[in-house]
Amino acid sequence: MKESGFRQVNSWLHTWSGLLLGWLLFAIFLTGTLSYFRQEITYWMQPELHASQAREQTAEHAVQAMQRLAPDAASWQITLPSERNSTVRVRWYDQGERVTKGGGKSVTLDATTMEPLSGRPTAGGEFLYRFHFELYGMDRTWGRWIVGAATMFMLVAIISGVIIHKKIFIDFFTFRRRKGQRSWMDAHNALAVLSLPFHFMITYSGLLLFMFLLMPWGIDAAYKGDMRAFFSDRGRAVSPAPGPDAKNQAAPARQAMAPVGPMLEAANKQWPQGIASISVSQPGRAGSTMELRQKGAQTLLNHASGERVVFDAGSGALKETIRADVPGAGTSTYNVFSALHRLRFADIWLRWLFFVAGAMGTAMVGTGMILWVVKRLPQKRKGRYHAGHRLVERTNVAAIAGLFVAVGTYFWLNRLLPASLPGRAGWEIHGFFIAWTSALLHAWLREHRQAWKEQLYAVVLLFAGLPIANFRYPDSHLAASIANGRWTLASMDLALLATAALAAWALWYLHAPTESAPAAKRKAKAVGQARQQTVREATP
Amino acid sequence: MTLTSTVFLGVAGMASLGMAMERHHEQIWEGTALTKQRGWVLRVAGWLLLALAAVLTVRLQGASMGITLWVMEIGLASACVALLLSYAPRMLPWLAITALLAGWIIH
Repeated sequence: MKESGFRQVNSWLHTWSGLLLGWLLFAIFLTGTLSYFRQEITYWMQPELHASQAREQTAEHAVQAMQRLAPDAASWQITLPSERNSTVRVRWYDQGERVTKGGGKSVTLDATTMEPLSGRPTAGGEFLYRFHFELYGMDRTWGRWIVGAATMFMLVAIISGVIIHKKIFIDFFTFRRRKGQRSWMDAHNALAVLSLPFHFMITYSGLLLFMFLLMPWGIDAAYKGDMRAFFSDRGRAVSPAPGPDAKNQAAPARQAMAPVGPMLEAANKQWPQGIASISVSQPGRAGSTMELRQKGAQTLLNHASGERVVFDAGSGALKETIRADVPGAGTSTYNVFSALHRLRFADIWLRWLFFVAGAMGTAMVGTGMILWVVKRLPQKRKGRYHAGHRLVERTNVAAIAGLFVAVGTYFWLNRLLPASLPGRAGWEIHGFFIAWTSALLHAWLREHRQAWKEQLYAVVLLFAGLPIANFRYPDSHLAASIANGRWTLASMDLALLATAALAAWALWYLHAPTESAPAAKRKAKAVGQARQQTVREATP
Repeated sequence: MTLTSTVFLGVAGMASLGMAMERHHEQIWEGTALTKQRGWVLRVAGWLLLALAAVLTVRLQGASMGITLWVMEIGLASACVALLLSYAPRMLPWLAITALLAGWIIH
């Protein structure tokens, strides 16, 4: 091996692992970044829910509404409005019914009137979230294996990228504009280096989340292949087991509930961020308890579960305060990484920070893919252009601009398809893939630069059009959401506009007259000299 | 002390570190060479501001949340500094001063 052999090997590794999985990684990064706001996206995709607005009395009224809706239930779960969703979501289980995740009956209520609301059927942000880690239209395990393998390559690309970056500190803040390949390189480097801790964390934690799938041998050996037993043991170590199985138990005798107002007030006094949810067991019967859960979290070590207080619902007396407990070191480490990756705990500010970092990561992957093509432009100019180059440059268009077209189509179908259409949620998703496939075909049929332009035009139209189309819904459009301080909805519309603006900026860049690199350099130098001249003349 | 003011401290710190670099110093103050002393002062000031931001964020949000926030915030701050250096390098000292003042006022 030559002197710089190590760096060269890594450069080779970085280029080809990036090329091989860049398209997939771009999609994983983009949908993952959007998943930070998956609840907000789902909420935005159901305009029927937007009139609901939280009031001071909402919690109390929700409990009263439950007494009307499900007086005989074995338990209630009430999720109160938050910044992420302005409605009240309630769930209840009948006497003797098994308590399972997603079981029982559930209804969404208006936070003011407590009337049931029905949003249009949609997979919402959940589709993007699922796609992010298990793709679509294939066996889940297969999807997860593919994404897991891509994650592994991402880790390889990050490490080899750091190794081959020659001037990681000197170039730290450097972005030289309008210099062809140099600019793409600078952009790729800056996007990678400036949020390197995030990229490393998100990739490493992504692998950890797949840990039980990709490396099950330890558990296999200890539990003799019984994964279920492992997870139930692990679950028990972290949070207390759920109450005794309500099955086959006779319902206790009736006993009126104490007024809930004072209990809520007591909890609110302790928790400045407020109450996230209420659960009541055996409401209106002897021995009924009411558990309140705190909003937000203090630490990343315990799944950010927050504090809980339990009241005796009959007397209204405080029974116990359950502090969020901190588990052992191994579980804590896993929890920190999985919490950081999934961001369940985060308030809006941290969520936006992660979103921006995720967008930078997406752009990093995108610039890397474009850089591969740009680097080979001199060969193209000389007419020595490989069929492989053509394959990559065309597929890049569909993987980058085409994915935005697909996401835009997904949102548009959500607005256009009638609410009563059978299989409506499915058609939104089909539309996403039809649009993406069409983008791929389009990129293949058109000339390369033309394909970029046309797809970027489509992105501008789709994304700028959505906030305008929202004016059809009285409580959803920008003017209403800003006037009412509904920042969840407003930021979604503003983010759509920002995406359209970014695509328009890219278009403007594509339309600017192309200059060969040396000519651009000469021009930049001339401009710089002229500016120095004027400065010198201006200063006496 | 609020979380917002720690963000401003991070921005000022990163801007200071940027100004301490020869290439960017040249971009901002054309023709003025970066003296050893000046570079040293800017660098120390930058690191101190970043450290202060870290300490305050951890005190406000606890260790695990605080460190997470701090890392993300100085990442964002450095991206802002890089963009400014590319588009309007001479504004960087003003960004540093404004950020410091804003951090001071909001605290």
